[in-house]
Formats: sequence, structure tokens, C-alpha cells
Amino acid sequence: MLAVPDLLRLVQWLSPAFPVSGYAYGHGLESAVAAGRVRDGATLRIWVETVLRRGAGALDAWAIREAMAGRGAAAAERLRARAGSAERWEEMRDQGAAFARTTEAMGEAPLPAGLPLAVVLGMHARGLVPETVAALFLQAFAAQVVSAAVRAMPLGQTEAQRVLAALAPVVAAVAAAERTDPPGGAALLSDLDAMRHETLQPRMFRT
Amino acid sequence: MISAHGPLRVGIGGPVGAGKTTLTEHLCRLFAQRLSMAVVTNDIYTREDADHLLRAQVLPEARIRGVETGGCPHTAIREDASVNLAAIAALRTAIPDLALVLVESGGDNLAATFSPELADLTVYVLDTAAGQDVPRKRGLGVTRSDLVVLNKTDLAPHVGVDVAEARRDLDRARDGRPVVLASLRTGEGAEAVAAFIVREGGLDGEIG
Repeated sequence: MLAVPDLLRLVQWLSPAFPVSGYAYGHGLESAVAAGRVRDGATLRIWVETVLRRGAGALDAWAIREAMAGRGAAAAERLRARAGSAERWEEMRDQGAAFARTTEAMGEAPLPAGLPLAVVLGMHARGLVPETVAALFLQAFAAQVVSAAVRAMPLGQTEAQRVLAALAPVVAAVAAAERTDPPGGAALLSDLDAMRHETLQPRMFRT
Repeated sequence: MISAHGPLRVGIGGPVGAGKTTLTEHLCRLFAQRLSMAVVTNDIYTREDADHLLRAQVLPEARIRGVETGGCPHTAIREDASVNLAAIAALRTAIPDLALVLVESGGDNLAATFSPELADLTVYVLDTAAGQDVPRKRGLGVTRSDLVVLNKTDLAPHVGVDVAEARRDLDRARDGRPVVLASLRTGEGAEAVAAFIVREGGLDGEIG
């Protein structure tokens, strides 16, 4: 169990109000919407579930645990090497930089530049419960993509919350997995979406 | 000259179509030869938007950054400007002698304001043709911005708007703080905005 002050700190860091500009990133979803493959709550849930289980979700959860265990620098290298596209790396690197900038300004220890978000979070969260940190991170990530979907396609606020609730068991399972080796990426269609996004026109999102 | 405080950051806000990009273009024309400047624009949806300043040939590509905001233009200039702060930081690294950065919003409602962490000075552009009642609505963008530019005054007779009345309403809403009447399509008013930025932003020493 996390002590309440630690939990509050974690919830503040992972709130959509924490200034990492999460609203500007779509993880490639915008391309899937433009192609018509994500068009309603059901197709959105499948897309996000695949990313959580087989893409960035599993890899970020692993990286958080590694960073919390004091192996953040190596985990950062691995995340960069396994990013599915250039924009995917920018997404995690730029949010990591914004996170570190704000926490440092708030009095937390300064971190080396250029670390991805999951690693920055893991470094700041050392001493907390890895499964809880990973679960709240994945929940925030899923909520960010679902929120992007609300803006990118016809999807109501209630249906969006239903999708997020349906993803909770996936978030819990991925957060609970303890791996010694980093998971391989197999969310291939979403990786292609992220690559296609580099030339997508028109576009609202950075990724 | 490299300032220890970094470049002056001027936020340019206002509703879609009011003339923010046109004002930015004019300011680039007036400043680019006289000091080291750059533009961060959130006003992009297609490459066409991002390329506007390039096509106008007022600034080289390395001095223009387009930042997408995921359909949240107000968030990006107000409650979470980190994506724009990162763009400014990247410009400062690439161009160490930067004296002025214009941050152009992606299009706002009347309540939008710039975070003091993002902009040192703020300019809010209004479209005369948007209606006689707009200055009376007293949104925070209108009342709080350091300067309001009432643009497209040349259209007033065609849309039944009385510019003198709009001016009086703006002066009342803004407690007498500065307003520039402009017709930026022809460049009218741009020099007054530039003079305001030099004066209030303390750029006198930077101008070459």
C-alpha cells in the first residue's frame, strides 16, 4: 500500500493537468481515425488495448520498474531503440523533458536531459510501489489517447469513459507483469499509424 | 546582444480569422532585419498554414516553429504551455542571440489569455467585422491583454459597424489601456504595434 501523501504526489504527477502537454499527442491514433480503422468506441478500445498490451504500454511499464530499480539510463536507451517511429520517440522524450522541468522547478532532484516520460516518472517514484506507479501511468496514458479520440472523431464523453473503464483490466494486467527482459513491440498497425502520421494532412496532433 | 533573461516573448492571440498571422507577418517584416527574432505558431492545421510565413519570405525556416495543439489552442497558451516553452527553448539553443520571439496562438475565444510563464507581453487581435457587440463582451483576452488591435476597420461600413463606438467600448472595457485601430491587409496599424512592442518590451537597445 502507498502512504496517502505518496499517492497524492503520484496522482498529481499523472493528472492531465500536470504540464507535459499530453493533450497535444495522439500516439498515431489520428492516422487510424483518418483511415477509418478507428471509428467508434469498440474499434477505439481494440486499438488502445493493443498498444497497452503489445506496444508502448508494456514497454513503458517495464521501463518504470527498471527506473525505480536504479537502471533508468539503460531503460531509456532501450525505449529509444524500440520506439515504433520518430514521432513516438519525440512524444515520450518531450513529455519527459516537460515533466522533469516542472518537478525540478518544484524542488525535486534534477535529472539528466533527454529521458523519456516513463523513465523520468520511475526515477522520481523510487521507493513507491512499482505496480501502483505503472498502473496509474498506464491509466493516464490510456485516458490521454481516449481523450484524443474524443477530439479527433465523433465520440461522446460517456462512451469515452465506458471505453476507459473497459480497459481497466488490461491496465491492471500490464502493470502487474514483472519481466526481466524488455517486451518486444508487436502493435504493428499502430506503429504504421504513427509513421503515417508524419505526413498526415490535415493534422491536429503532434504525433 | 545576448540578454541574460532570454528573448522578449510576445503572445499574439485572438479569434480565428482576426488577422494574427497577418500581424505576425508584418512584425517579421518590420523587425527581422533589425534584430534576431523567431516565431512559434500554433496556428497550424495543414502544411499550408505552417508554410504561410515561409511563402511570404519574411523569416527563414530555421526561425519558425509550428506546434500542433491537439485541438486545444487555449490550453497550449494558458494552463499547460509546456509544448510552446519547449519550442522556445529549442529556438534559443539553435539561435543563441535571439532577442524576440512571437508566439502566435491557434485561435481563441474572447476569454483566452496567455500564461505569464509563456509571454512577457500580450497582443489580442479583434476583427471589426465580427460585430459591434464583441468589444462590449469584455472577455479576458480583450480586457487583460497589454494591447488590443482592432483589425479590418476598413470593413466597418460594409458590415454596419461603427468604429468610433467600438473604440469607445474597448477603451471602457480596458480602462484606457492601449488600443490600435488597424487594417492589416494594407499594413495600416502594424508600425504602431511594433512601436508598442519596442517601448513596452524594452527592445530599444536590441534594435540595429
